[in-house]
Amino acid sequence: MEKIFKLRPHEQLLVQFVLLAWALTILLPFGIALMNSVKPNLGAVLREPFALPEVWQFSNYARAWDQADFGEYFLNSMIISLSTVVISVLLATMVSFVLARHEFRGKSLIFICFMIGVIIPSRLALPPMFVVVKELGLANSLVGVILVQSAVMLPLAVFILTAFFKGVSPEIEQAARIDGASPFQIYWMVVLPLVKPAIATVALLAFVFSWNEYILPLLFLQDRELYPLTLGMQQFKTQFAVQWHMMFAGLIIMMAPTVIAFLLASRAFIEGLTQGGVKE
Amino acid sequence: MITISTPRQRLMTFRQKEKFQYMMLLIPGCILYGLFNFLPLIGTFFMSLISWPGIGPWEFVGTGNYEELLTNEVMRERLFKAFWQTLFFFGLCIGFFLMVGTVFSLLLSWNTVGKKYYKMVFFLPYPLAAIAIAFLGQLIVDVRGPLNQLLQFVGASEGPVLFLGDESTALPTIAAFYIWQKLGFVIMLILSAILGVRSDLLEAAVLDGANRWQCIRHVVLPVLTPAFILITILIMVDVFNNADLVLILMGPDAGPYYSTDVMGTFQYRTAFGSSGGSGAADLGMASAIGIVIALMILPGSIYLGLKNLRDR
Repeated sequence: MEKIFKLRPHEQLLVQFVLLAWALTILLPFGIALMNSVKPNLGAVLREPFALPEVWQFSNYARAWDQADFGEYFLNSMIISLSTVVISVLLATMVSFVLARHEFRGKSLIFICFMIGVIIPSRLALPPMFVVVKELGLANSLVGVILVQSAVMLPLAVFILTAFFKGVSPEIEQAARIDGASPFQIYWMVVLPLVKPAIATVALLAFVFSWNEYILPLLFLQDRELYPLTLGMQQFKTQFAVQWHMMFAGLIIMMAPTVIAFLLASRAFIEGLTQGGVKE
Repeated sequence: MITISTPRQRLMTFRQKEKFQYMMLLIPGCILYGLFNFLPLIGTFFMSLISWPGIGPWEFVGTGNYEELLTNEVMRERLFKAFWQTLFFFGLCIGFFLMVGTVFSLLLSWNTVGKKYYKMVFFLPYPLAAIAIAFLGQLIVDVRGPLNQLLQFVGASEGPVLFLGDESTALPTIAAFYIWQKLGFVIMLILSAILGVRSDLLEAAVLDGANRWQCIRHVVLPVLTPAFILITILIMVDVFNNADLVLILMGPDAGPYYSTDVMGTFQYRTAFGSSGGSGAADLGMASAIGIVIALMILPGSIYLGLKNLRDR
């Protein structure tokens, strides 16, 4: 047993070589982006893209940030993502709590409706979605984008949470009920703390999804002041397409929050996103 | 009117209050989901029966959109081109994922030095936005970019390779970006399946005198089949409905000369017009295309949904 799964030194070397090759394929583009983002001009980037800059011009970042309104985009992205997280977590926990713990007529129908949302990608329903948002007067507003993104996130969140409820014993909730607690109180004081791990997964999924979403904001937002980072990056490109050093700086600014969050909580990211990806 | 509450009535009102509160917990989520997600999903079918540019009057055409899609020379050609290119894209990705992903997962399942860090690095691009992946990749493979300089330095190519600018290499290049981003996710799935098999089955095989290759070939790989099916369906569903990378890099026209046109861009272009604003937008036709795509991925996604339900 041991013999079969322990690598001999020369095998270890070979394995390391293969894995290192792919690790480099992943890391090199990031490295190139970092190095070239502080070069002074396009010429310096094109001459030696793999070399460290002779002059470290960190002002590229300040310039990208100022001239491209990254501050504004950042704020919009934050507003959209945090609202999406709060709304989808709140509503999904409420719905799943009722679906998992309360018997009533039409329950399976509601559950099936949510499952249809898990099975059919909402991306295919963009035309009617567009009409709904427009008819409700929510086009070109952050509220519209937030509501749509929360709604798109809901089925998966409900699915993950109802599954989680199945594994949580209802005894505590029943005890609270016997003590005279109303469903509101049970939900807020008993259930929410109980399902914390699942909430963390759902919140992470919702945040990453809404932070990265490109098509929905593109469809629903026209004013530049409302753009999140994804659309802002596109805007940035029309301005700096031929100034690669600026493009790299802009890309680093855009990727930094996700990469930093990933490095801080890589376990949660890997497990949460893998699980969420499977359930989709 | 004066009501005198008897104990029995008070009990009822407590029950009613409980029932009312349950409903109040349920309804907001149902309204939000129903309005912005479920209604559009159902509406896609009804919208596929009309012809409507998005503003002005609409016209009921019944199955006309579907007929036009299959009989109109231009539409049919576009549909099939998009379909084959999506399939080609999917084939490239899934082939790479299953073969290379399995090899990497096996390598990571042994006592490999630094496997924790490899897992982190491999997964790193996965949470990034499609737009970041697209633009970063675009700069790397540019005609004057780092990759071309490297290729010429090692003498792998005479002139610069056009990658995204050439009809024959554009779609494979975008597939490469997609693979670059998602391989880590695939590896995690296969790896957890491998770690799920190991001890007892393998111990039996080893006791029977199997060597390492035989263990992999006859014990590990057969047990991985469910993971392979899962990955195949996940990637298929994603590739068939999500065209972000193409849309970002090539715009709705999926250039050069529609050579990167996939189902997602075909639908988007039909719904909201081409970038030049030339093609007439038709939300009805776009919905019909949406239904066609849904029919293609439905068997796979229903299988996944049922499997997920059963596993709960």
